[in-house]
Amino acid sequence: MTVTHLKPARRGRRAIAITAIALGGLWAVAGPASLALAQSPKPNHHFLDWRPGTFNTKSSQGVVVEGVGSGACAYSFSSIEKATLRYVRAKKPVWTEFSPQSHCASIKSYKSMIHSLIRYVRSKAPTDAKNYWAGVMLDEEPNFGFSASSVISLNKYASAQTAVLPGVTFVSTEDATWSGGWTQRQYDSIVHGTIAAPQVYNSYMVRITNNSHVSENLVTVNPAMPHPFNSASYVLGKIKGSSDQGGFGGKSTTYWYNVWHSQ
Amino acid sequence: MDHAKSRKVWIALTAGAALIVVALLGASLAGNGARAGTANHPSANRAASTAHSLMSCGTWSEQGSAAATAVVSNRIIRDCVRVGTDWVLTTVGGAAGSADVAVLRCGGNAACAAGVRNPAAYAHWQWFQPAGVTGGATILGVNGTTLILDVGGQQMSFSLANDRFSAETEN
Repeated sequence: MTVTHLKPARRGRRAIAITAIALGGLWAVAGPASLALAQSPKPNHHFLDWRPGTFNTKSSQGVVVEGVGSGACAYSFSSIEKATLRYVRAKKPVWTEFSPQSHCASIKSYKSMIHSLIRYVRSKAPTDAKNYWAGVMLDEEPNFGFSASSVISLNKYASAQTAVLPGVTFVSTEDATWSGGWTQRQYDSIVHGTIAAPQVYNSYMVRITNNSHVSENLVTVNPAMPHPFNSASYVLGKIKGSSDQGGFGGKSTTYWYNVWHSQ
Repeated sequence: MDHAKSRKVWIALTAGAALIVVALLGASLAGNGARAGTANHPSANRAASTAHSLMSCGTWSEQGSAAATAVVSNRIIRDCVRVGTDWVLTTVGGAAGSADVAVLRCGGNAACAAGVRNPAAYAHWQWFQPAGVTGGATILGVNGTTLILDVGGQQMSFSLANDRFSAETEN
């Protein structure tokens, strides 16, 4: 055998050469994007949005109570907290979402709402909340009327509120930006200390998400995004790092993404 | 002995290289499958296809494509969806004061509503902007034929039935 007559150093070089050729061939055939890695582990569960007036426990998946602006806008704060409590008591993994907008409420008012919501849910269903209430999801975008520093302040407040709670309750930031909106550095600061739930609706958000310092993302996909970002499989295939691991009801092997829809 | 040892090293190196290639090829195929929308991620596909009553936009909505640019120019497409028989686009990042909600009505034209072909082949896009409000538009929710929008920090509704914006109040 020719191989057995090669010196070890030459064999090592040959193996490296074979690997390089194979990788080059793969690159040439499948394209550079083929070497990008999708989320690992792949998410195997997802959250779905429901407005507060709709109660859905049929789905085996998780729920987001879509509160939108609240404050002076829809939906009423009391309907949001009641819907959250209902899902918690039904042992459904549930986020409570707000889309803070400057014409609906001030940052101070949103902080107050979050504080009240936490007190309400944790006092009414302490055990189930510990196991099933994922916490507060904040949808923040550059044209919602608040500066980056304002939403950072809100996120820090909310994170401090949930940090002292036992169980699965945290804060997630379902944020989106665009060229001319918040920069990479601002995005990183905004999501810092939260579970990032980026709305990946275009290639700019793919870059922002993949270049952020966050290694674990609760990726938000949306069938109402433009093609091809309206495909969950396409979006999830574009994002690196880990999917969000949930420990609802004591199960630690669930990995999540988030789906916007409107029902 | 040396020969046997070197042979083991060679076999280990070759096997290692082969494993790397197989792993990368697997990742490559999975990635291609994802891009083609195949069933490499069944739960993701199931969510996209059944959990939403709204219809997604076709390839014509891809940012930067000729079809999309003809509609939005340099604005960034934030949302694109069919509600009933109307296609709706919202945009952000445009010039100050630009309208950011566009609607194309298919009416009874089934081919237009199917959305496989660029619906601009069948009807015109109309742009809407609430009076006195500027800023990009984002769809926050859809309730029947009413859109819940954020426009420049203001939550408002837009009725596809009468093309009117209304201030959103607590309800």
